[in-house]
Amino acid sequence: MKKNSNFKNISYTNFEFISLLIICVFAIFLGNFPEQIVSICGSGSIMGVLVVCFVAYFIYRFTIKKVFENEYDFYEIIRKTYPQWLQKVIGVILYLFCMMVVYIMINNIVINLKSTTYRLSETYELAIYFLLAIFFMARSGFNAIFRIAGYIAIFMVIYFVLLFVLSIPFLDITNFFPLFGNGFKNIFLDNLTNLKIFSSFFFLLFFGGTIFKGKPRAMLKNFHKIFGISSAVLLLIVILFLGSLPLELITSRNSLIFDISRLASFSTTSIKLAPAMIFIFSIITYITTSFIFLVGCMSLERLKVIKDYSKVIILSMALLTLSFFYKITSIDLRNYIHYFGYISNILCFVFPVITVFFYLLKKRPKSKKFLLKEVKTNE
Amino acid sequence: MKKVDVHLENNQNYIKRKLNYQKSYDLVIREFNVYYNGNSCKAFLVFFDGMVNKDYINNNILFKASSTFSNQNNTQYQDIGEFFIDNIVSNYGSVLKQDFEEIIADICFGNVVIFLDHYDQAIVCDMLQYEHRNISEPSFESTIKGPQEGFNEVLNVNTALVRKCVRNPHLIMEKISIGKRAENVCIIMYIDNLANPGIVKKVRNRISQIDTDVILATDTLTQYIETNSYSPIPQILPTERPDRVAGFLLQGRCVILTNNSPIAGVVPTTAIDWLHSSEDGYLKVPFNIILKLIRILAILAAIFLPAIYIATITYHIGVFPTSLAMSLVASREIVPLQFITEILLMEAAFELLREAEMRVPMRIGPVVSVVGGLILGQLAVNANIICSFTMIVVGFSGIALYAIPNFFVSYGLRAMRYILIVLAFLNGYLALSLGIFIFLILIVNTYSFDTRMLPTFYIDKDQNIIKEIFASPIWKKEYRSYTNKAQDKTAQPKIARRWLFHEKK
Repeated sequence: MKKNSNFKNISYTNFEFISLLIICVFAIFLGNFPEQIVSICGSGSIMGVLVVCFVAYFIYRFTIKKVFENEYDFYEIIRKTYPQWLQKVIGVILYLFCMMVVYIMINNIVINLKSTTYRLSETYELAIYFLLAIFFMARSGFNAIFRIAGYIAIFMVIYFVLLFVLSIPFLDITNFFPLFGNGFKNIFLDNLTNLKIFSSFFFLLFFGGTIFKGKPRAMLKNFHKIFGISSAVLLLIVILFLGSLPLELITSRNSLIFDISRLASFSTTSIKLAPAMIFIFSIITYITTSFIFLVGCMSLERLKVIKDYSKVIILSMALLTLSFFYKITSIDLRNYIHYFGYISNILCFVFPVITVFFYLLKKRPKSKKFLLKEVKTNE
Repeated sequence: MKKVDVHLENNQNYIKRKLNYQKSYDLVIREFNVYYNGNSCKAFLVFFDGMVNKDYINNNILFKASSTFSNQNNTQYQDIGEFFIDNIVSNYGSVLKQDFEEIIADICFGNVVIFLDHYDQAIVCDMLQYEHRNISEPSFESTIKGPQEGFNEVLNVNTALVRKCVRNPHLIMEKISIGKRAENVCIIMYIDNLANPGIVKKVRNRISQIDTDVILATDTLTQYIETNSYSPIPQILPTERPDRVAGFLLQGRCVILTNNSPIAGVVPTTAIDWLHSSEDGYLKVPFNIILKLIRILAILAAIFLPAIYIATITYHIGVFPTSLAMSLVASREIVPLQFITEILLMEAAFELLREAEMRVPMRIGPVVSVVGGLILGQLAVNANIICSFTMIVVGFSGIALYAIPNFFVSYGLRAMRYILIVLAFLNGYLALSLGIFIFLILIVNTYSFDTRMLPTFYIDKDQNIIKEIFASPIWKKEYRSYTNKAQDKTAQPKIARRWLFHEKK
């Protein structure tokens, strides 16, 4: 393993970190089924995305503010909050969760690729490219991921904005009405399952506060930037998707990944360029899966399950490779993503809040001692 | 450690034995006499023929030594060595040495060494002069605008060329000798109060700790000091232009020069340097921006075009407009070869032509390119061995390689192109995206003296990568590149054109 893969030597600029998180948000969002994002709330999905944005914002604003007030990262908070045996259990759960995210993301893009372009290829034949990318990236370490993300993210944002501009002439404003779709209450409750769109913010907790060259990062400021950009682009995508397509067509789609570019507009250029999107989506997936994979392995080391995370890379790669020999259909995948959504929501949204709550409870100054101290000084 | 003996004969015998006088035809040992303190004193000088200024030896040393018999000087000297240096060797570079190892090394470097009888020191005179190529136009970095001087193979000339451009007392030229069997001299150039001391220290350490028989040129030296030898990406930027070296030094970088080599190596370097040519500073901004865009496109086309072509034709033909797709398929149908074979065949033919043209005498060069490029290509298309589209793509990407300002950078990129072609054939855009990703990883993991080849992506006031690539007017370049890690980040004040104030008044 290279020196720069060591967690303590990770260095990145704010711009690179923001870029990486934006890539992750895109990748996870694009891996979702349009049915889950759109059909639950009908045409009121814009409101739905807004609700998700607000909930995610408040949860993470609270968590980040507390986590990075005194400590470096979320691992430290976990270590100070839970007993050692529980830390190890959490480490293993985080690792398994990360491996599951990687598996689902790769499977999602592979099944899409199979159904659109590579009809004759087997799943593992296509998945091998993603696994190779993860392997090479994992060997290069976090620094390489941050560096590449800095260059890729800017092109992605430009691409999505361009798509939006291209599709403006084809937007049908009536598609957005009634704004509250299936009702006010449904929007709030049903969309809580869509919180997983923002699950990548969970990884922010493990990195954002790392001190680089003695300078503490302006964590909350970073978070606001990341949140602002990713929410704006998500809204753009949803508006694009909803506005330019009849609702019946949307609910029959399998995945957002390629449909976004294909259905963005009905112009000839857009349809012609659809295969070229394999480039963008593949590279987004390479970066995101590699990052999440490394975070998973890192969790084992930081929570003291193993001593050196680099030793589990080969083993994890082998496990992932084996899992792709087990064939799944797109219906299976849809079910997996559905159930995975709940796990993801619990781990990425409920767990940090609970942990921070327990941490604050544990660290709360005890009133008696405080009083005694006061008395002593007075004397 | 053998020292110079007081007996002249012993010294002569030792020199003869050490420098193989019987076998070396170019070793010259000339005996002569000098009149000192009322006595005739025996002496001899030793040098290698062709490396010293013979006129100087004849007119100054030998002639003056014989004239001491007629023009006797009454000045009192401490010893004969002092007398000799003051009266005979009117040369600035004369030193007295005792150690034979050093003396022999000096003779090998082209110095003249004089031994005197009854004197335990030798006089080492720097009279170096050997035949060399004149300063001529740079061969791989030629430009229309700007100076037309390039380095040659003589170190002193090269350092003087740089010194001529950078008239700064802080310009340091550190000399390091390398090579056990054949010692060569290497120079590390940097501006003392500008270059990053960490990088200078690293360069010095790496060079001084090379333990090898011989280093013949800068290119050989760079292989010893770069971190990743297997990476196709050059970690030390080669240049043969003194003005460019001056520019790099003033940016706070280090330059390595070696005797016998017309190439200078610049460290640290980044991928941004691939886009810069020595002419950039002399051009107007709008044209400069267009040039940069063309170079970016050239790099992209050189690396990716054949691979994208093969992936599109094999897996994603729908990307093309229907009419173009139809004609492509039609032209491909009559070609019996497999697509990848066709592309690789063309690429091999292109490389063959390039190699042939570099080796053949200059007058036949154009004939080779005309016969190879045009006639053979046309015949191959007519014989349906290759498709005309393939020929256009390979030809275009080949030309694009030569549009990259630094010729040696294209070597590495060319190697990457073949890997991408094979990947594109395997699984279209998906495999190609993996190739691109690996290429990115490769650049990201390559370091040039602790500086990343792919600099950190900043879009900041002082650290702006867009500004680094696309040149702003020269008077607006207030900061040195953040990738150089220079000590002084400010290159000029915020308002460099102060005449603007006076004109307003």
